[in-house]
Amino acid sequence: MPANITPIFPLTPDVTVGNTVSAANTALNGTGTVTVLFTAGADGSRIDYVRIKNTGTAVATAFRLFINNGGDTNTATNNSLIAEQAIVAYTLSQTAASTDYVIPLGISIPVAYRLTASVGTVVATPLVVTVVAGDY
Amino acid sequence: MPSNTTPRFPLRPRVEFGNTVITGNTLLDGTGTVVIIYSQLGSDGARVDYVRVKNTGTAVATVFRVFVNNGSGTNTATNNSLVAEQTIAAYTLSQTAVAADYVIPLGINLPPGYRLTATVGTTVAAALAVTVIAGEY
Repeated sequence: MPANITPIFPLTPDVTVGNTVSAANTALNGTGTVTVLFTAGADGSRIDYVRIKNTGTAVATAFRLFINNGGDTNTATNNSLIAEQAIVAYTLSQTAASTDYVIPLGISIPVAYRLTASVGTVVATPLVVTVVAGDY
Repeated sequence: MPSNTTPRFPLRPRVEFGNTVITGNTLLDGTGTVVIIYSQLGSDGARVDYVRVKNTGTAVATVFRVFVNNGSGTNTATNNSLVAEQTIAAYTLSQTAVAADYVIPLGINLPPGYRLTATVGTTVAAALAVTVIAGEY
């Protein structure tokens, strides 16, 4: 087998900002209303972690993270639920910090693969999601 | 696939200091009054290790917020992401007792042009001094 014996490393940092998730989706198969958080580069990408923050008062919810193979997200077989994070109810404060939610991934994804996300319940103010990655 | 087989390391240490945050901003989307606490000098991206925050005098309690900005206008919410918060306790200046050292670990590789910005939730009488420990590729 012509195996690769040379390690590869991300070449270009890739950080996606400004993506928000707020609409409820009770499906755990990645279909329905999802937010595309990240799309792999032309040579694939390495995803280090995902950070989630409340941006205002909101009820408790479950944040769900899926890998999608680049196909239609409404086809369940194109998606895999890979991580969940319980988000506690939050009341906006100007003197106390909210929780920093970090989901470590350490995953290399092929070209065109994507990360998508949903929440289990409607949140009055969205969660903002940052993906910290690098493109090969 | 033209994969990169050479690991990348920061080439130039960067410690950005002298930035202060004082004016309250209740928005959590990175718009409004923000302070740019880190901007890149080069064009190859940067590694940000952590952010340090210190009181510089008597001040009320507040929350310190850090955003990643993609290099475009900070007043457009979709250009920003809130990535970390730190509760800053009320502080009374003392010459015999130290104030808390607030350290916010980031460990993030920023693409070229990306910046870090910061706000505080309430106006503080004496500014918070912010130091960013980073390296540029």
